[in-house]
Amino acid sequence: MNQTGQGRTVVDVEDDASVIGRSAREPERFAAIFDRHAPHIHRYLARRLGREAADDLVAETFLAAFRKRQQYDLQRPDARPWLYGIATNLIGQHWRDELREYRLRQVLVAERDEVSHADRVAADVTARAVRPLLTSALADLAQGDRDVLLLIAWEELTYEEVAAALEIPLGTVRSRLNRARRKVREALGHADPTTTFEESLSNG
Amino acid sequence: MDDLRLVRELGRDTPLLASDELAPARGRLLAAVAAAPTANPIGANPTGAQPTGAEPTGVRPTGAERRRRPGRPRRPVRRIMLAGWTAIGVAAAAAAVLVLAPDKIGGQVPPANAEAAQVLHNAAAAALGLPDVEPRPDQFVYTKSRSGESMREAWLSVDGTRDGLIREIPAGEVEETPVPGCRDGRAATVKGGRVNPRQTEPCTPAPAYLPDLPTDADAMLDYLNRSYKGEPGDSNAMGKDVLALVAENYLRPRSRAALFQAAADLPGLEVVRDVKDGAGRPGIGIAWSSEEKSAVLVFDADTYAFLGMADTLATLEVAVVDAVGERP
Repeated sequence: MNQTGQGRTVVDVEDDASVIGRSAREPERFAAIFDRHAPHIHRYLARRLGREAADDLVAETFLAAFRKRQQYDLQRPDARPWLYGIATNLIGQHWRDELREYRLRQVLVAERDEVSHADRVAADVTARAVRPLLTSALADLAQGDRDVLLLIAWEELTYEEVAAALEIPLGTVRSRLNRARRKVREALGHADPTTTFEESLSNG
Repeated sequence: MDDLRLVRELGRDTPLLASDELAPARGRLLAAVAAAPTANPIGANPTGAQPTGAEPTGVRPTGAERRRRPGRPRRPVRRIMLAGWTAIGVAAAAAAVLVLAPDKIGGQVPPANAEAAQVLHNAAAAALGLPDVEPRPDQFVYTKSRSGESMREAWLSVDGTRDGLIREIPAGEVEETPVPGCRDGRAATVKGGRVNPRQTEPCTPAPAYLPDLPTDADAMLDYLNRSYKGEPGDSNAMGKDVLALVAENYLRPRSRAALFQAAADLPGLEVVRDVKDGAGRPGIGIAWSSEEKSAVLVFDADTYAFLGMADTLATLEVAVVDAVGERP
């Protein structure tokens, strides 16, 4: 056992499935799953619900994972999509917090922009300029569409991993992503951020 | 600028925490780990409720299972797949109706709301008046639903082996998503919205009609609990099961009635007045009185027909047709 807890790039470490399998008889092994994945799961929760809620729910996620470790599909060497699925379910129960977080972020971003505007490069300025639109577009998405979009855009899961995480068919991942992206584009379209961005580049 | 890139930028500000900042959460996990009894080996099916190979036929597998290679051992989690998208909101409410986890509601189970139960009993009675059709394996379950301005039609194979289609029309523009049938353990892959019959992936069939569903309330509740292997109180997961039954599958009238009746027997329901479904149709709402009242089932106040979910979903039509593209 050469578990170092330094992440999944370490080569001679048991894969997650093996750790989870052994954790049935030796529960303490499950700590390795936390060490490997908690930073990413925490960041995902913080992105969607804010830091405070994430601090609490990252523990909830791993407690839930630990409780249902016997249901883990041992054919899957990497447990991260499974953990994302559990975290996403918890987020679903805190959707009010999520919407509040996006609203809050709009305000914060607007304030931050005023002080730092001049220092930013064009791309960053544009990205910031469209943030209020983006956050409100995210807030307006159906929960399931938002789950798929953010697991792909923020967490860089593949379509297959999203399907496994959310236990939905691949076709549904695609259709949810299409719809989410279209709605985001529509929301941005009114302000035409593309034009603003291109212009600021060519004029700047 | 690419919309995905912009969304990605939005996530950039949030840092990955160092392990010491995660120490409190790790401590909570370790405390639970220390308290855990040494369990059965994983895969030993600790509940014994659903021995491998004796599962009800026709239960729709999860996405994960659809890609499971044939011959691999089944994993103990067995859920009904949710083919639809409009359903997420429904999930929470419908699940909350059926899963009672006293530990999640402070140890107190509130008494059943008689009026809410009556609405569900009426809905069950109304369901019995629906036309009874026994679908053939080669047919398709057609559903038409609406969520705000977005229309959705789906043709899903009754036995899961035929190629189906989901057609969505959000604001005039048609988006089609093929649903390849699963034949001999393989299904065609879909890339860029098109089926590629030359490339296949492992699958198990996802039937749109479950021929062996119970027809009385007790058996239905038992069935739901049996086919549900998620964590107790995981309303989202259980809701997907229930929602798939109500909104995406064809249920014969007696099973549909049993489902509503099973829900009516559980405490914690309440009536929500002046609600509208996803198409703006007014009705009477049934909600779960937890603090997370995220969705409300809507029934017609006169006929008690199931309409959909408050503000998110209107189920307009469910029928059995002979071919993709055919409407009742």
